[in-house]
Amino acid sequence: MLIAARNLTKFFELRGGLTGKGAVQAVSDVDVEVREGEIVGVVGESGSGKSTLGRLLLGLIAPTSGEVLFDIPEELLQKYDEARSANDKKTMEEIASKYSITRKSGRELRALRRRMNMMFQDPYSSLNPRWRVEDIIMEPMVSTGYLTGNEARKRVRELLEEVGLPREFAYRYPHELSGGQRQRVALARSISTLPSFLVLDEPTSALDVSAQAQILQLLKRIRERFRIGLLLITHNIAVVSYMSDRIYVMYAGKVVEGGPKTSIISKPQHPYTVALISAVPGNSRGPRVILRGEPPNLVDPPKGCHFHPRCPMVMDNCGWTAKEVAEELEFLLRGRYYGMLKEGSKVVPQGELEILVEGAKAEEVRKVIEEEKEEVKSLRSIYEVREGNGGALVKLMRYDIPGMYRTDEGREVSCLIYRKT
Amino acid sequence: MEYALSVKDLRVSFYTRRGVFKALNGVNLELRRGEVLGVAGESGSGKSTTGLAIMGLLPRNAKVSSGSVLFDGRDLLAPLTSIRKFSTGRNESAIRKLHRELAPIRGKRISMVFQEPMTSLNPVLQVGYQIAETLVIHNPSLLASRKLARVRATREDTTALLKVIKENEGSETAVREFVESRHLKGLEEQALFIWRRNDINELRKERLILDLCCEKVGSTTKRLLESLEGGMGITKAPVLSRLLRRVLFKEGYRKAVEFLSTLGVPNPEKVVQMYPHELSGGMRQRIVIAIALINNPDVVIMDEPTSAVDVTVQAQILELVKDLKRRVNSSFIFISHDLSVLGEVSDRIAIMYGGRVVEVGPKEIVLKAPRHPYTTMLINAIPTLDGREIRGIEGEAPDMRNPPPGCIFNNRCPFAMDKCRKEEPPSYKVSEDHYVACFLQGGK
Amino acid sequence: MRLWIYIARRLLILIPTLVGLTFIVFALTHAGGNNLILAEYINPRLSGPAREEAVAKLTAELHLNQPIYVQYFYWLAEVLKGNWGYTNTPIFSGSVTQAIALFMPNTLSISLFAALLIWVIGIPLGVFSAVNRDSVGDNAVRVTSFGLYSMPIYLIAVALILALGVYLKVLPFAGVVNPLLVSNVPWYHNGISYPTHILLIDAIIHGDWVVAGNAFLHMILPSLTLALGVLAGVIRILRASMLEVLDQDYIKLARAKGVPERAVYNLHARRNAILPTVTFFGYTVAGLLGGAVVVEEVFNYPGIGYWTTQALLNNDVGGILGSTLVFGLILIFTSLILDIVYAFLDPRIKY
Ligand SMILES: Nc1ncnc2c1ncn2[C@@H]1O[C@H](COP(=O)(O)OP(=O)(O)OP(=O)(O)O)[C@@H](O)[C@H]1O
Ligand SMILES: Nc1ncnc2c1ncn2[C@@H]1O[C@H](COP(=O)(O)OP(=O)(O)O)[C@@H](O)[C@H]1O
Ligand code: SF4
Ligand code: SF4
Ligand SMILES: [Mg+2]
Ligand SMILES: [Mg+2]
Repeated sequence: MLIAARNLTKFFELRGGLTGKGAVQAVSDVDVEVREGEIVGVVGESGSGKSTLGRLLLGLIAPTSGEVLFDIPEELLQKYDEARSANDKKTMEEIASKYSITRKSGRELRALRRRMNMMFQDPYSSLNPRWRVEDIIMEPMVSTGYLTGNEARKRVRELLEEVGLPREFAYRYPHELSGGQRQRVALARSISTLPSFLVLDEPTSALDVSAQAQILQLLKRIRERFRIGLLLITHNIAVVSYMSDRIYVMYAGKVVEGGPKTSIISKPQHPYTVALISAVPGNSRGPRVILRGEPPNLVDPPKGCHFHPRCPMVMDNCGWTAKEVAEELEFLLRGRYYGMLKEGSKVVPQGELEILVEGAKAEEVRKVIEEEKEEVKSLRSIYEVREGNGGALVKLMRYDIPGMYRTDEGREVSCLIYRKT
Repeated sequence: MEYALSVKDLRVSFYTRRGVFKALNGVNLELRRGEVLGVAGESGSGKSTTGLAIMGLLPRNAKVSSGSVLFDGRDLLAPLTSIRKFSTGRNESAIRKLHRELAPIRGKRISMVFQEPMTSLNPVLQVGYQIAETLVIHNPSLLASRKLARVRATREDTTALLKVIKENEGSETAVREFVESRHLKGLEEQALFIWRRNDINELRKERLILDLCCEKVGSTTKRLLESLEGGMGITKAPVLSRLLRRVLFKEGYRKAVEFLSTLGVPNPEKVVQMYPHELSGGMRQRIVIAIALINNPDVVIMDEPTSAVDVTVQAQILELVKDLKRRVNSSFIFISHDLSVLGEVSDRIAIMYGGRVVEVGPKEIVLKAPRHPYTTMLINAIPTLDGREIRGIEGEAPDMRNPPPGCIFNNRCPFAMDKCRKEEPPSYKVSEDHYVACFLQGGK
Repeated sequence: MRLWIYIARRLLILIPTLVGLTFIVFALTHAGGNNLILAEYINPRLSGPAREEAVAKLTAELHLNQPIYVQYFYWLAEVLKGNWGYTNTPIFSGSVTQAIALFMPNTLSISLFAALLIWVIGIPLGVFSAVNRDSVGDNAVRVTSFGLYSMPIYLIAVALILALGVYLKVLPFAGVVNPLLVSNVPWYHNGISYPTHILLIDAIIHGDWVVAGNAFLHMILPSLTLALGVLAGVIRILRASMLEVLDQDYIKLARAKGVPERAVYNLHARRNAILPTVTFFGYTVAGLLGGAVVVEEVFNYPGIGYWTTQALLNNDVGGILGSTLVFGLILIFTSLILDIVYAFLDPRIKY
């Protein structure tokens, strides 16, 4: 296995004010894998943690927890996974200490840097404007000690040809190039040390379709020629569908579905993936699912399944908490059931799973819930309404946290619908 | 044929330190009433410049060397084309004149939505203010009559109104007739808005409609509102105009809330009190769309309204545009570099390249059976979900300081002939409604 | 309200800054050993046994034989009680707090007058210059402001004195008032007016319009000099930020919805353009204070700056330290006020 992440987690601590303000849970508990010569796509909305995942895999930022295992033999990875399910910390530690990129240092790390690289979205800011193309492409070769100055200079010419640019471009400055040409230079730079793993973060998002098509074709050719494993990060599902062998779909810091491209694109299983793919303009298979609302705030993500507030398939145990249900109940009681809530009374969440509807009768509240359950899905998590102290006491069932469930060949889905009982 | 708007032989150049860029080289476009005209093309092909030119919002280094934008029987760009020799000073004063002339039209009869939802709202003004402003500028008498209607209406009036609404199941004409018979114009849209809400129950709706009455205002305010309603402009007297503006803006916020809720913005009462930075990109784009649409303009130009947002938000906004197309009778120019987005919303599609429209026709034909080599190649370059092979267009877009003579696509066109390097191809009609600017289509 | 919490928090953060400032002043006092302190605190007119007694009393009072941080707290306590030491200069000798009470009002009045000039001249000119960019008017404003910007403040002062004072003889340029007018006025003696120590206001209080007018005329040249020194910067910054704002998408949108040009400038653009200028105003205050030292000296205007110069020329430790503390406090509090103004103007600031 070229690279495998296990339980990878990154929380960015927020600073500000006199006291800390929690952390952005940018990536939480993610497993991903990339094999030699494979193109793996990562899709998801803005802020879902795609770039953070990419940077974690390259060791550019330190994970909060979890491991990134590089170049690990299949058997050992399997052993690691077995140890993990058996909660055998010792074996896990033993394997991780040898293959984890976070434990490497000095010479080992420098050698590693040569073997993995990254290419960024913005073709305008990712190249130093005061350097010539030659210097830009040479830099990683020299700084990792891969080649000496003169050898590197020679190699630049070959690389330019490789990415379809004339040799004279070596003497140009970035501002003299078009967007597509800059991305070619960026690509030449990132493959200069013949890496075996490359992260491409939105490599074509800033380009026109015609330039995009050229870069994508070029990437495919380079992958064939050098057997590089590519992690392609993008929010453009059509691009991922054209390029990748396998796909991971991310939502709010989690991988919600992963598997072979063909099966994910043609038969998405996770409700979020279904919505995402149906939203691609021009897609005519199946009805369009329009998601309501917006992605969650990652400082305090929804409980249970992160997707539950927007999920069209949401069930009673997907993560509803008293706060959410109380809000919807209050909205109903102040709107559609105007008059039931007395002036000045409130709907108060009490802890995570209990709500007090002040001054209301249990019987009435029960009737509202029965009537609205169909439409207001959060109400389904209510299993009991009792007369309580000063009003009706509403009790919610305990929610579940979805794990990764294997559904068919090579596919994993993080949704309770696919949990085998 | 009657057009909502037409652009004729528009030529625009930008004067920069690095030379004169010929951005538009004879653009011809006709926008029909009630249609959505999609405009596509790669970046730099002149899509935004065309939109800005129609609005008269070109920057000061832009020279309009010829052409016209015909709207409502007049050429909107006349002040600009009258400049013969370009200088920034002369251009500047022409632009100032243009702003003066067009201000009464902009936002009322033609409006525009820009690409970047993050930067197109004023950061220091409340969202509600920015919507209400458009109403106060262009439609103060509507706001006045809305307010006055609630002042004049008695409990008896609203009770009767509620009865009319219930008996006719919210039919607009019936309500309008009733309101007119009682001289309560301005009340109908407020009542119908409440009636059509679906987040509150009948009881609550009835209460709200019954409450559309018996408001009190000071006698000065009332007199001011009445003269506004009677067609006088906003008074110039300093203290009075300030007083009146306060009342109008308050009413504008109220209408903004109603309008936002029809655009599917949850919790509009709260949203209007917020500042742009407190809203997500998709929400801001809805606000900008609300600003563009609230006065029921004849023409709406949308410049890449979905390019800066996520797929799921894009789907929400496209759905909204489709819905608006059914509901309002405006005509839309929808600019996007993404043909598949245009496929979703447009009736006709125009393809631009190098500052010209190279192909225009009904959506299905342009997408399924394009005739211009550039259109074909553009479509072949777009990745789709079925993972079919894609092909980039070889070569670079031409340097617009010095565009090649003849057909502007000739340096990249695989079919280029001698003729193409000498003459500019005219627009050939290849079938009903379908025009292509390419010699391959000529003489057939 | 949230803004109050923000202000309260901002005040809390002020404490360490104040401690820092006072500590530096304290350290300066003590750098020269105990003699300097004695020089600062003991009335210099004392001598012999009286002085010795005073020294002993002070040593006990200031705990000069205790460790330095303990001394700091005692010293701070004294400062808080209002005991800032003594100053001895040709223009005034007595306690530092008294000196400040006497000189501060004059400085404040010319600085405020200058700030007002900057506000009413600078903002309209900056906006005008940006709105009519590249016009004759804009070029005139730019050339003039650039000229002013590159001129040291004393040159401006001398130029104004020569032009308006000496050549045209329309404005007085020395002191706060014509001494002949106040020679017999009961509420004015030894160059000090009562009760507010601001001559203009005192004259108005006592209904002496001739003196008031004359005092006002005396304020014009120093204030104008001070204003001109800072004005150029304000105009340049405002013009640049106005131009930047006018290029923003939201201005395009404002025009696209038919907002009349005047409202585009005054409502949509100006407030956004002023925001960066507010921060700049912080530097302006520093500039005004620095300028005041020069201007008061040139115009013989008895303000804090004038006193500071005198203290410097006469090695008057008490005066130097006292004015350092005052200048520091003014800067700290203006930056506080500006932060609050900024938070108030810009809804994007989280508080
Ligand atoms: N250095 C950082 N400090 C704090 N928060 C961060 C940092 N980097 C990323 N985040 C947060 O982590 C989350 C995931 O960010 P990330 O950049 O990985 O998203 P993404 O999926 O790449 O989005 P996009 O499509 O916009 O590039 C976001 O909420 C982001 O604001
Ligand atoms: N303010 C400007 N100054 C100079 N050139 C400009 C300016 N605005 C646009 N252009 C040029 O005009 C051409 C068309 O631009 P534009 O209409 O923005 O294209 P599109 O919207 O199709 O991407 C491009 O070559 C662009 O560089
Ligand atoms: S677990 Fe599945 S069904 Fe439940 S909210 Fe999440 S995605 Fe929807
Ligand atoms: S006119 Fe000639 S160069 Fe232009 S598109 Fe047609 S064939 Fe190609
Ligand atoms: Mg990213
Ligand atoms: Mg554009």
